[in-house]
Amino acid sequence: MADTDSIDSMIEACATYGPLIRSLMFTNQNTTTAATTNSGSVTGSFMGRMVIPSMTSPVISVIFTQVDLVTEDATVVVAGYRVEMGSLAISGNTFSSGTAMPTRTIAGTSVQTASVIPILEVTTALTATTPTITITYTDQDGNTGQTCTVTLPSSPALTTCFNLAPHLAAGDTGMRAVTNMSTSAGSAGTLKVYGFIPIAYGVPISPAAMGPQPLSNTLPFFPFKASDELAIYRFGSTSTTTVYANLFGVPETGF
Amino acid sequence: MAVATIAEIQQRFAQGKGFFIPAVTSTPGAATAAAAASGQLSVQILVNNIGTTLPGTRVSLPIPPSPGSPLMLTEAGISRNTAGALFLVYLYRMGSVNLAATGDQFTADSATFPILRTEFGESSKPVTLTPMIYIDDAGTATAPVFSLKTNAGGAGYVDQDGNSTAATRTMTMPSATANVQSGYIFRLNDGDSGVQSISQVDVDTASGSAATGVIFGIEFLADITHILVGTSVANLMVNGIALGDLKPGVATSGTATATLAILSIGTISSTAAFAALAGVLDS
Repeated sequence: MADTDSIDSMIEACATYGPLIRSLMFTNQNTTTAATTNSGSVTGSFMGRMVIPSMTSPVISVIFTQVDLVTEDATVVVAGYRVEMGSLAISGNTFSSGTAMPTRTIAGTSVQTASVIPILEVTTALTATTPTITITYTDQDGNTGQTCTVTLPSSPALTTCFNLAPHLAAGDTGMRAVTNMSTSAGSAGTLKVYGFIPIAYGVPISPAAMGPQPLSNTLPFFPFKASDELAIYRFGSTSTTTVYANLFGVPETGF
Repeated sequence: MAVATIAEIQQRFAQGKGFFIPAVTSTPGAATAAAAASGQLSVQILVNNIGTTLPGTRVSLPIPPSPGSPLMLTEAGISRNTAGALFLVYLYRMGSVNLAATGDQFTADSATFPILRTEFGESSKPVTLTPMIYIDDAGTATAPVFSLKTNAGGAGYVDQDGNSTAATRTMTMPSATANVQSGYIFRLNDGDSGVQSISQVDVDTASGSAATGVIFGIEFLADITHILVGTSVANLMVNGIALGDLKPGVATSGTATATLAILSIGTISSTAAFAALAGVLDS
């Protein structure tokens, strides 16, 4: 029986091994570049990340059972697992491969994960006039060589993010791995594709105040391993802002 | 194989066989409130903010491209800084009506209605739509009066049961200058609850100046209501098992212009909505 099969076993796991509790304060000082219908249809910003700390046997992973997300402006704020699947140096049009989405146990079954909302993130500000970015990827069913094409606004700012989901190949809903990236234009900057699996979200109004979010039955209890990244993205605003997040994680000891 | 359990839904979502849509809507203009003779219910359309220029250019909330399977909506979180009822809908554009002249003034879009979906395992069942007129170009002189029939008294719509019907009730715009972006639900005959298609609109009283309306058929997908100012989260698996399909229905022939939108009913406010829509492929 897994630690997370019942509320009782989660209480016992917290009492025995100790929960993971974190408060995160992320301030995005960069004015985000607005998206277009050719680049995600919703403006996105990277707010911050947390690296999951080391674990000692028998603890092998942590699931977050409560996530509070507070911000100052009316937006959609999403927390989730992310992994860097590939990067593109605009200068030289050079692709570097990253990590494919992992296999994880979700609701008692081991599954090959894929990202329903892959993110193209500006990690170094671009110098590029409306660059068309072509991403070659493996889809949610394992089909290789699929392509996703987005045309970005000119010279998007640091931490600007673009939702790739609307631009996947026809019939696709997810991305397992990135095998190539290229640009049609530009002289500087870096873009990275992150596989992202939401675990919690908030939809605060302005001025914002959010209480604990009810547990979702759709977003999975995703088991984070040591050194995994939990990231927070914001959608719907170009302004600089702060996100305050409280996380409560329950330890798992294996299946 | 059809989705059967909540565990399967979480697994499919993690496998990338689902969707998570951060939806940020346009800010609608100040609509003119409905009155008894214009359907009672004031309607505003909230569509994707990016790419939309109201009233004429309305961009659908984005969904995965050309889904091969139904997109089962299982959860929706929404906020809006005004109280009111919000529904996730498809708007199927049926045609337009020239309110500046009398007589038969409906110009149908090229797609053939009804919209079809699989229901109870039976394919190609006609979908009953709620008909609405949306003001694209406001008049300035006279409140138009019109109805779903021909000028000669013939049928103007096919009702929910497939009967060709001539409307006996008229619609009178609540003002000679009803604002652009105002939406009004058609008054149908006693016993009718919706339409499968619209074939004609008879304008009895013209606006006296240029005025046009777009006719939409509304397909209800999910109640993501938020009554109070603030945030609502609708878990559609446990709150009444209300799992709408975000893949649009198909026209009988041709391609209907389908816009995934949030409909505000009963409240007029120039306020955007922010939503998170999540679900899985049902295949």
